[in-house]
Amino acid sequence: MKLEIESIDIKDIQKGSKTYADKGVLYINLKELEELILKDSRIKSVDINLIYPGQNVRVLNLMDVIQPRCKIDKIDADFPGFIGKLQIAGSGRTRSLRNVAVLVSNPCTNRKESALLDMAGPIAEMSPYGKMKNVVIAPYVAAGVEERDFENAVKNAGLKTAIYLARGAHQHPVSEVEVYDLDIPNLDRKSNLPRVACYYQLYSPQFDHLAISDPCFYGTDVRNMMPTVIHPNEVLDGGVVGWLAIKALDTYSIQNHGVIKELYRRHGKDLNFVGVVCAVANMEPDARVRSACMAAHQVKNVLGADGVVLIKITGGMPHIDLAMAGEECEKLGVKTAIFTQPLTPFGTLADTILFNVESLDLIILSSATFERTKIPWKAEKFIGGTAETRIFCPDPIVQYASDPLIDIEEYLLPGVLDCTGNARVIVKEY
Amino acid sequence: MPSIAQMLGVNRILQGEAVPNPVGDPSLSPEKEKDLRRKYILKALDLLQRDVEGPTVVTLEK
Amino acid sequence: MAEEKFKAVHYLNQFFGQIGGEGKANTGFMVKEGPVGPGLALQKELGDRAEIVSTVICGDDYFAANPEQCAEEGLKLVKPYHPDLFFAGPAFAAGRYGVACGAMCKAVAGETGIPVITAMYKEAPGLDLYRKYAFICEAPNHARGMNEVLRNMARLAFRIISGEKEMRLLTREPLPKPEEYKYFSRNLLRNEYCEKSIAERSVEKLLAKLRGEPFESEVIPPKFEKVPPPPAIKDLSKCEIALVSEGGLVPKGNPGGLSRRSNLRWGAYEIAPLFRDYEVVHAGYFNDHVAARPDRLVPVDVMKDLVKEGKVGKLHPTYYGTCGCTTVSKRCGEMGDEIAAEMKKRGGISAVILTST
Repeated sequence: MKLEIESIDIKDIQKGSKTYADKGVLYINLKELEELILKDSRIKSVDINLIYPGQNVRVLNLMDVIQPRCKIDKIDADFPGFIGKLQIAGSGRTRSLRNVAVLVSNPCTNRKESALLDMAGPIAEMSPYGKMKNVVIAPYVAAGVEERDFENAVKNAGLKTAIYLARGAHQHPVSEVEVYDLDIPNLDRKSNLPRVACYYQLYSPQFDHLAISDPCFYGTDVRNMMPTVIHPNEVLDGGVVGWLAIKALDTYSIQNHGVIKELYRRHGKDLNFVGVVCAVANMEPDARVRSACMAAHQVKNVLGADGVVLIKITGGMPHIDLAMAGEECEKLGVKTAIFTQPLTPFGTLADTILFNVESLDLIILSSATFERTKIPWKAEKFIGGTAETRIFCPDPIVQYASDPLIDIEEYLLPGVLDCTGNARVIVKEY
Repeated sequence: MPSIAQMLGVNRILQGEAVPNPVGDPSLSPEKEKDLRRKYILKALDLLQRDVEGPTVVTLEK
Repeated sequence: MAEEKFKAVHYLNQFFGQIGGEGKANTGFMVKEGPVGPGLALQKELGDRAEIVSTVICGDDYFAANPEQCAEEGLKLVKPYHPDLFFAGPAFAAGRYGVACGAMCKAVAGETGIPVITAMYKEAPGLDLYRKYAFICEAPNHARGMNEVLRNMARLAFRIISGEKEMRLLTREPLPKPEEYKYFSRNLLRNEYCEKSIAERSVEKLLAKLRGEPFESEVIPPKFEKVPPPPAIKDLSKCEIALVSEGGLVPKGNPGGLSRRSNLRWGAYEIAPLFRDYEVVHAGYFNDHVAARPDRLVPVDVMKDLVKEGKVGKLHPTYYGTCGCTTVSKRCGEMGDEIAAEMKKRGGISAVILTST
C-alpha cells in the first residue's frame, strides 16, 4: 500500500472572500466554513476564530486538535467512517497543511477535565500548537440535542473544517512529499534486517464519559475490540482519530504518529517494518488475557515479527494489558520494548511501573502524564469559554480561566505530552 | 488485577469479576448477583483456610 | 542592585562543635556565635555572599534519645536568627549524627521553608529517612573529603536560593539536577526535556536488543521481598473477618479527606452508618456500579448472611478504606502496616478480605 503525503507550508492565515492559498497564505471564507458546519442540525451556531502565536488568547474546553488534510485523488474518502465513506485509509495522495491546526472546542461540555491552549506564555512555549496559526471552532448546541450526540457533532465539525482548509489550498505549490510505501507483512522480502512490529494500544474504557465510549477507529468506538492487524498508513491517513477529549493525545499527534513514523524512517535501513497490531485496554480479566494472547499471536505468527514496540495509552489500568501482551510476545520469542508512564510525582522510577516480569527488560519512559505544572500567565481573551470557566485540577484546587496562576496536569495541554512518542521528554529522579 | 498483587508478594489472591465491580455484576438481577458475590466470598474464605507456599492466584469457576 | 548577604545557621554535633568526643555525646543544645570547626571552612566557601551567624551544637546521644523532640528544641534556637539558609554536618557515614542532621533539616524546612542542606555517605541510615525533606549532598565515609563536600554544599545552597529555574524541566521549577550538584535524589519524579523523542529512543534500544548488543532500560524494576504466608485459618465459624478496600468507598462528605487521585490517607469507618450514607472517591474506575450497590465492592450483605448461617464467626463492624488511584506504592505499604496495627490494637480479627478495583 502506498501513501503520499504532500505537505504545504502555510506562513499565515487570514479571512478572505474565498478560500484559497497563495504564496504561503491561506485565505479563509469564514462565512462559507460556518455554513458548512451549520449543515449539522445538532449545531445551533458556531464561533470561528483565527488566532496567532503571541496573542493573549486562552482557548478553553478543547476537545481535539486536527491537522488540515484531505485526499487529493479520491472523492468522499477523508477520515473514512467519520466523514468520508467507509473504506480503508492509507493509499493514494493526501494533502497536508503545515503550521496550521484546527482547534476544536466544546463550550457546552459537561466534562470536568478539559484541555486548554494559550497562544502566549508558558503553555505556548511548551506546546507545538502554540507556535502555529490556528483556526478555532466552538460550536453551540441546538435545543433538545443529547450531550454525547452533540460531542460527536462537534468532533465532526472539526474534521470537516480540517478537510475544508486542506481543500482550499488545492492549487498551491507543494513544499514536501513524504512517501509511505509498505506492503505488510513483507513476508517475501529477502533481508537480514530484524522484522519489527508495533503494538498500538488505542484506547482505554476507564475514561468513558457517561459510560459511553468515544468513536476513534473508522467512525466507531473500540470498547471491546479484539486485537486487529492494520497497516500503519491507516493510522497516518485518517482511519484513527483522537478521543472526544484530550488526554496526552489528539488527532494531530496520531496523524503524525511518532513510533510509526520512526519505524518507517528506519525501514529498509535498520529494520523491516512489518505492520501494526492495534488493541485496547480491558476491564475484565478474561478479556485482558484473551487480548494479550491474540495480540502476541498476531505479532509473531501473522506479522512474523522478531521485535515489537508496545505503545501505551493514558491511564493506570492500561499498564496491565500492555504488560500482559508484552509478556506473551516474549514467551513466543518476540523481543519487546514496552512503554510505561509514571503516574505520581513522588517515589523512584522503579516504584512506578505496575508490572514486574523478568522478560520485560526494556522499558521506555513515555512521560509522566499526570504531572502538574504551574502556569503564571494571565489570559485576557477567552475562546470556547469565559473568564469564569472552571479549570480542572484535582481537589482541593479551585481555579478559573482568568486566574493569574493556574495549576494544571500536563495531559490537558495538547501536544506537550503525546502517547504516540513524539514528545522529546523523559522522566528523571530529582 | 492479580498480577500486581502477585508481584508485590501478596500470598492469597482471588481474581475478581471486573475493575468497576470486583465482587458484583450489574448486568445480573439482584438475586443472581448476590449469588455470584456469595460464590466469590466463599472462594476467598476457602483460600484463607488453605495453607499456601507463596503468592497464589485462584479464580472462581463459574 | 546591591546583593544582600544571606544569613546562615549551621548545626554540628559535639565533636565537630568542639565540645568533646564520645564522652560528651549526651551534652544538650548550645549555641555559639559565628562559625565553629568545619563551619570556618564552610564560611570560606560561602565567601561574601553568605554569613554563618550562629552554630547550634548538640550531643549525638542526647539527640538520638528523642530525635523529633530534639529537632523541635533545636528549631527554637535556630529561628531567632531568621536565617536564609540552614546547613547541618556533614555527617559522613555517622548514624546518630546523620539522623540528627536530617531531623534538624526537616524541622527547619517545615517551619521556615528555607533551603536546608546537609551531607551524608550513601549508606548512612539518615539518608533514606530524610532525603525527601532536605538536600543531602554526597559525602564519602570518612571526614578526609570535608572541604570538597563543604564546597558542594555551598554551591548547592546558592543555586537553590537563587531560585533559578531548571529549564530542562517541563514544570520549570527551580530544582537543581542531582547529578550536577552531587546530591541524592529526593524521591521526586519530573518530566525532563531530552534530545531524542520517546519514539526514537524506543526503536533505537529495541534494535540494540534485537542485535544482541547491550541496551539500557529506562526503568529497572524493583525486586520485591517475599512475605511469608500466614498459616491457614482452622475454624472459620469461630473467626472474626474484617473487610478492607482501596475502592474509595467512604461516608458521605468524605470526612477523612481521601483524594480521588494520588491519595495518601486511609480511614476506619463503621459499616452500618457507612452503608446508609456513602459516596465513592476514586478517579481510576467507573464509580457508578459501586455507588448503586456498595456490596459490589465491600461484600457486607454476603458476610452478614454467612455469619447468620454460622459459617463465619463474626463480621468486624469496622471497614478500613482507602483510594488506590495512581498513588505511591511505598505509602500504600505504610498504610497497610498502619491498618494492620489498628486491627491488632482492636484485637480479635483472624483474617481480612481486601477487595481491589
